[in-house]
Amino acid sequence: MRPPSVPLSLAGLASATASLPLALAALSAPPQEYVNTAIARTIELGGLTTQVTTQYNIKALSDVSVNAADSGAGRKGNGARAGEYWLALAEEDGLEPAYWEVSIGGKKVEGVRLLDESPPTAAVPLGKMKKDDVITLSLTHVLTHTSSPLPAEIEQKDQQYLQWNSNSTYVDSWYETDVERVKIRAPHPSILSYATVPDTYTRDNTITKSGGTLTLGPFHSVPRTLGPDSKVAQQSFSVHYETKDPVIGVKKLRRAAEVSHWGANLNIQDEIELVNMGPKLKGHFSRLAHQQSRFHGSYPAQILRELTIKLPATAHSPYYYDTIGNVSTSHFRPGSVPAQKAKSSKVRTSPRVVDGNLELRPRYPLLGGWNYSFTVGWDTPLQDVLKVDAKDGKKVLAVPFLTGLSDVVVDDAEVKIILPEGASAVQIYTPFPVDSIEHSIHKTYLDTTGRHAITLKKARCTSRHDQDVYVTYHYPLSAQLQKPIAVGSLVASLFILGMALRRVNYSIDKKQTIVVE
Amino acid sequence: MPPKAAKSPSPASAAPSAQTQPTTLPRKASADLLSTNDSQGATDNAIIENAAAATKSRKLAYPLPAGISPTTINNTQSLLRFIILALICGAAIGSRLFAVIRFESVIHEFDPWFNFRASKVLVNEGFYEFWNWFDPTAWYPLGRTVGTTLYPGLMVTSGLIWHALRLINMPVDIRNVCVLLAPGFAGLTAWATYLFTTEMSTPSAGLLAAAFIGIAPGYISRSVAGSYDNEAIAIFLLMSSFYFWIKALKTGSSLWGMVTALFYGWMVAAWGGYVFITNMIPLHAFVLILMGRFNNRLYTAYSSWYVIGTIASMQVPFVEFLPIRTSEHMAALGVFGLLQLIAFVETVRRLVPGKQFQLLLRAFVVAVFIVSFAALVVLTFSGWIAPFAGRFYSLWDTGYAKVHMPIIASVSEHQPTAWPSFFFDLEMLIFFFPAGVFWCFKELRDEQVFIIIYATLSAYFAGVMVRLMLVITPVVCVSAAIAFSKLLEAYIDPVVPESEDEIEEATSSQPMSKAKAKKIAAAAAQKDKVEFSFTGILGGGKGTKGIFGLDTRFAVVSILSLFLFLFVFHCTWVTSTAYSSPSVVLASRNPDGSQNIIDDFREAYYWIRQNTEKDAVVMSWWDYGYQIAGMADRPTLVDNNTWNNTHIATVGKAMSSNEDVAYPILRKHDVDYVLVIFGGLLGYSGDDINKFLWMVRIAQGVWPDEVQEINYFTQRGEYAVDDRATPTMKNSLMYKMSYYRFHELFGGHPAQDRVRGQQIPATGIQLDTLDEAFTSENWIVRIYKVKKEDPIGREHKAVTAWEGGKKLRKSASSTVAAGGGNKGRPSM
Repeated sequence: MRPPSVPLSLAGLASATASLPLALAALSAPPQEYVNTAIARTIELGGLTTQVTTQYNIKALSDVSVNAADSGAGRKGNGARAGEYWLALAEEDGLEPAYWEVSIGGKKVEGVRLLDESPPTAAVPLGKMKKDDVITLSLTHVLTHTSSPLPAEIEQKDQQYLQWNSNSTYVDSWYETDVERVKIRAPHPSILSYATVPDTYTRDNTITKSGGTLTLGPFHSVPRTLGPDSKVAQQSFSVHYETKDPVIGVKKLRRAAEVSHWGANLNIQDEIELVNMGPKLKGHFSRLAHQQSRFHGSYPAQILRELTIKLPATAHSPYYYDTIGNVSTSHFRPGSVPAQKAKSSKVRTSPRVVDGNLELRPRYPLLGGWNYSFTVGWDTPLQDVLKVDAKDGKKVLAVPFLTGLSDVVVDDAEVKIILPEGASAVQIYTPFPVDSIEHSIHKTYLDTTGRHAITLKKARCTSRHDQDVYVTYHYPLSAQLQKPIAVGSLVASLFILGMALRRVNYSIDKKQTIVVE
Repeated sequence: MPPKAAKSPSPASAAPSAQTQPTTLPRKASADLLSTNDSQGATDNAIIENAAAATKSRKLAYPLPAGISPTTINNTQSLLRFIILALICGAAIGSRLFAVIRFESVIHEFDPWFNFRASKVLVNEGFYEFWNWFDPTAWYPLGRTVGTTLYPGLMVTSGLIWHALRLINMPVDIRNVCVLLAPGFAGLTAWATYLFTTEMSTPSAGLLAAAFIGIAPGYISRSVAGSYDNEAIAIFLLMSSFYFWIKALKTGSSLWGMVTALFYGWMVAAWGGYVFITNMIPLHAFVLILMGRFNNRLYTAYSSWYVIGTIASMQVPFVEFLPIRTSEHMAALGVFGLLQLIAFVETVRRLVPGKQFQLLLRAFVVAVFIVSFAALVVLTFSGWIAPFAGRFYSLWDTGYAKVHMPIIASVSEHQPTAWPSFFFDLEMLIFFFPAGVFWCFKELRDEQVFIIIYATLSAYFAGVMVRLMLVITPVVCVSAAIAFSKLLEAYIDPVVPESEDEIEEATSSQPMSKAKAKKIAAAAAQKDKVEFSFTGILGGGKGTKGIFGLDTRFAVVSILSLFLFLFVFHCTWVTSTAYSSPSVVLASRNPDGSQNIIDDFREAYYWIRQNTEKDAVVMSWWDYGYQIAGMADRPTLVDNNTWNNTHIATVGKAMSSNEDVAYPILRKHDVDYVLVIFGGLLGYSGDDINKFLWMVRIAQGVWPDEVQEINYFTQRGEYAVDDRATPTMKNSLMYKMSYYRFHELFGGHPAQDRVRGQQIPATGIQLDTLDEAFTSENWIVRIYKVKKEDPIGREHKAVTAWEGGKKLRKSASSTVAAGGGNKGRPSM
C-alpha cells in the first residue's frame, strides 16, 4: 500500500499525498510495524464528561525511517505513511472525542493527522525508530454525554445514579497488544452494577472492584481490534454508579469579548443556557422539603444551588443578570496579584496569584431537567491580555475561549471577539480546531466604520477548551484617533448648525409683528 | 393685522414683542416698584439696571456695584438662567434615580411591565406589527387587540428614541430606554414649566417653578426611573401644550396654535388624561369670552388648535371618533362653534354700525348657543353621542364607583385623597399655592385666568382621586413659584421707598440704623393702615410703601431660604423612602444594616419562563397579569387592563370557591398553573389574602347566588384566617393555596401569619385537584399545577385518599379499603 522507502518528515509542507494510492477507508489498515507491549487505560467517570487517559508502550517491529520531503498534507487526509502510529480514538456518535491530546514524554506531539476512519483515528508521527525501540505514548481524551441518568426520573430527595456506557471493553487498537488493563474510577464508592467481561484473554480474574474503582483485565495477547482482518468481537460495557454532584450541562454558550484600547479593557460576557441534565424531577418541587434539607445541612445531590466561575486574578466589575434583570444572589471574591510582579507577563504563574471567584446562585435551585439561562460578564485590564509584537508592531491579544466549569459540557459554543474600530490585518490562531470562523463588522457605541468581529463556533466543548485564542492585528494611532475626531466633528457640526439656524429668520411676515393689545 | 382696541387691563406699553424676544415679558410689578418711566422690556435685569441708574436718586438698602453695562448684565443673566435650568434638569433626573442606584435598572410595578412589553414588540417587530398587534396570550382564551386598546404614545416615543440612538450607533437596550424615559422627560418637564411660568410671571418665577416641579414628590411618584407609565411623558406634554397655548393666545399666531395642537396630539396618543386639556383650553377660551376678552388672537389660537388638534387626536386608534361622539369632548366643539359665531358677529358689527342690528346679532348668538346645546343634549340622549364614561362619573360622585364598578374602586390609586398626602406630596407648596392664585387674580391677564381655572379644576380633581394628585402638582408648583418669587423679589429689591419724612430729611444715602428703619417702617405701616388694600407691600405702586431696613429683608429672605431647604430635604426624603421602590424587588435590612434583596417575584416568574411549556396558561389575580406576561412570558386569564368584568369575576369565583366548584372553571379555561401571592411568612402585606375580599365582591357582582361576601366573615364580623375562619373561607381555593403545608414549616410550633398576626391551624390542608409546583424562597409566590383528569376516571378526592392510604399501608393496612372504596365515579 505504501512505498516503503518514501521518507516522511514532521514539519514539511509539500503535498505528497496526490502521488500515493489512497485506500478505501473501511478497508484500510496501517502496516503492522508496531506492537503495543502494554496499554494502561484509566477512565474517570463524572457527570457529563468522562476523562480517559491511556498509556501506550509501543515497540517498533522493524527499523522505521522518515524523510523530510514527504508528509504534512494537512491535518486530515488518509493513507498510511511510514513512521506513523495509528491511534484509535474513542468514538462518540461517529465523531472524534470532544477533546483529545497525544503526548510523548509529557510533551504534546506536533503534526498529528486525523484520519478519515471509523472509529476516528489519529496518525501520530513517532519519528525514526530502530527495531525493538520502545516509546511511551500517552493519549488523553474527554468524552461527553457518555453517562446518562438511570433511573431517568427521581424524586426530590432521592439519590441520583448515572449509567456509563461504552461500546468497547478492550482498548481499540490497530496493532496487537501484549498486555492491557482498563481502570474505571467512579466519583463515589457506591457502584450499583457493572457489565461482565468475557475471559477470552484473561488469565485469572476479569474484573476487580475496590471501592469506587473497577479494574478490567489484565488482558493478555489481545489481537488488533481494528482493521479489516480483526478477530476480536468488542463487547459493550456499562457501569451504574452514584454521583454526588449535580449533572450540569450548558446547551449554549455565547461569549462576546470586546476590546477597548481607550478604556484599556477587555470585557468578557457570557450568555449561558444551563440545564440540569441529571435525572428529571419526578412530581414537583417542594420548597418545604428544600428548606428542611437546608436545616439538616444535606441537600440532595441532584440540586444545583450554586456554581462558581473562576475568573482571572485581575478581573473586576463582574455582573450577573438574566432576561428579567439583575440577579442579586451572587458573590464576587476578587483575585489578587502580587503588587511588584503585576506588570510582568509571568504573573499568572506566580504562586501568590489568587484567581477571582464568582459565586453565582441561580434565582431558584436547579432541579433535574430544569433550565436556567443567564448572562455573566467581567472586565479584565487590557495589559494582562494584550502584548505588542516588537518586530512589526502588531498587537497580540489572548482571549480565553471559555471559562470552564469543571465536569460541564458546552454543547454549542460561540465566541465573538470584537476588536477595536480600525483594527486591520487581523489574524487568528486557535489552540484547537474549531468548527467555523467568521469575520464580520460589528457596530456599537460611537462607531463610524464599525469594528472587526471574529466569530468562532465549536460544538462539544469541555473545561479542557479553557485555552487562549490568539488574535493579532494592526492598530495604528490614526485608528485610535478616529473616535475622538468623529465625536468632535459631530459636536462641532451641531454647534455650527445651531449657530446658522439662530441667524435665520423664519417669519413669513417681513415686518416685526408686534401685537399690542 | 392692525392692533386691536385694548380690552385687557394690562398696560399697553408693557406688551411684549413676540417674535424677537420670546422670553421678555411685561413685568408691571417690579417695573413700578423701581421707576415709573421704566416701561419696555422689563425683565429681571431691570431691577439691577434701573437700580444702578437710579442710585443717585434712590436710596438703597445695600450698595450695588455700579458701572456694569446693561448688555453684560443681560448676557450674564441669560447665561445664569441657562446654567440654573440645566442644573435643575440634572437634579430632576438625578432625584429619580434612587431606584436604579439602590436596586437596578428595572421596570417597576404592574402597568409599566405591559408598556415595556409593548415597546419590545414595537422595536423588535416593527411599527405595523405593533399597530395591528393581537395578543392571544392576554385574557386567555379571548385575547386582546392591543393595537387599538392602548395609548401608543409612550411606546412610540421610546421606540423613536431607541431608533434614533441606534442610528448614531448607540445600541442601547430598549429596557434602559424605558427605564430612563421618565427621568428624562421629567427634566424636560422642568424646562417646559420654566417656559410656562415665564409666560405667567417672570423668568425667576419660572426658574423656581422648574425647580419645584423637578423635585416635587407629587410628580416624582409617577416618574421615577423604571416607572414606565403613560404619566411619565404626559406631564411634560401637558405643560408643553399649555405653554404653547398661552404662547398662541398671546401672539395670536397660528404657528403656535399648530404647535399646541401637535403637542396635544402627542398627549392624546400618550395618556387618557388628555381629556383634561381638551376641556381646559375650551374652558379658558370660554371664560375669556365671558369676560369680554374675545379678540382675533384668541380666535386664531383656538381655531388652529382645535382643528389640527382634533384631527391629530383622531389618528390614535383608541380615540378615533371619540372627539366628535362623546360628551367629554363636546365642550371643545361647542366653544369652537361659539368662537366662530362671535367672530362672525364681531366682523359684521365692525362693518355695519347700528344698535338694533347689534342687538339682533347678540340675540342670534344666544339663540344658536341654546339651540346647539339642546341639540347636544338630544344627541346624547338619543345615543348618538356617548354620555360620560363611568370613570368620569366617579369624579363627580365619589361613591359611584363603589356601587357600580367594584373593579375601579378596588384600585388603591382611585381612592379619594387624604389631606396629609397633599402635604406629603407638595410640602410647603400647598401653602404658597393659594397665594400664587391670588396673585394671578390681582393681575388677571389672559394667561393668568388660565392658571386660575387650572388651579380650581385640578384642586377639585386632586381631592377626589389620589391618582390625580399628578394633575394638580404642576399648577401648584407654578403658582407657588409665582408667590415665592414675588416675595423674594420684594424683599431682595434694594430700593428703599421714599417716604415724605425721608424727603424732608433727604440727607444720608447710607444704610440707616435699625432703630430708624423700624421707626420708618412703623410710620409706613401706619400709612398702610390708612389706605389698606389686599395688595400690601407687594402691590407696589406707591413709593411710600415697601421694605425699609436690612433686618426685615434678612429675616424674610432667610426664612424663605429655610423653607426652600426644608422643601428639598423633604422631597429627597419622600422620594427616597416612599416612591423609589420597584415593588418587583423588595428590600429589607439585615441585622448588620446591610441590604437584603427579596427577589421572590422574579424568582417565580423566571422559573415559569424557563421551566414550563411555552403555552401553559397561568391563572392569577389580575394585579399580576402584566407581570406574568412581561416576566414569565406566559398566557394569563386576566390582567391589569381590566376590560372584561365577567372574566375577572370568573377568576374571583375560582379563587373564592371550594375545589369542587373551582376545578371545572380551571379546566374549562385550560389553566395549567395557578399563582398566588402569599406574604404570611415574611410579613408582605400586599398579598392575595388581603386582596381576597375584592375577589369575593367582584365575583359576587356577577354570581350573587354562588358567592356571598358575608360567608367569609366570622359571626362577629371579623376577617379571620385562624381557627375562627368560616368553613367557606377555609375551603376556598385561595385560602388553601396560601396556607398549604404552611404550618409544617414551623415544625410543631404554632404557625404564625405575620401579616394578619393570626395563628394558622395545624390541621393539614388537603389539595385534591392541584399540585404544589413551585414556591419561592420566602414563600411569597406559590405556584400550583392543575391536575389533569384522572386517567382511569376517578375523582381527584378519591385519588388523593387512595394515595394517602397507600402510604399509610406501611404502618396501618386498614385504611386501604376505605380509600380504595371511593373510586369508580368519573369526575365531571
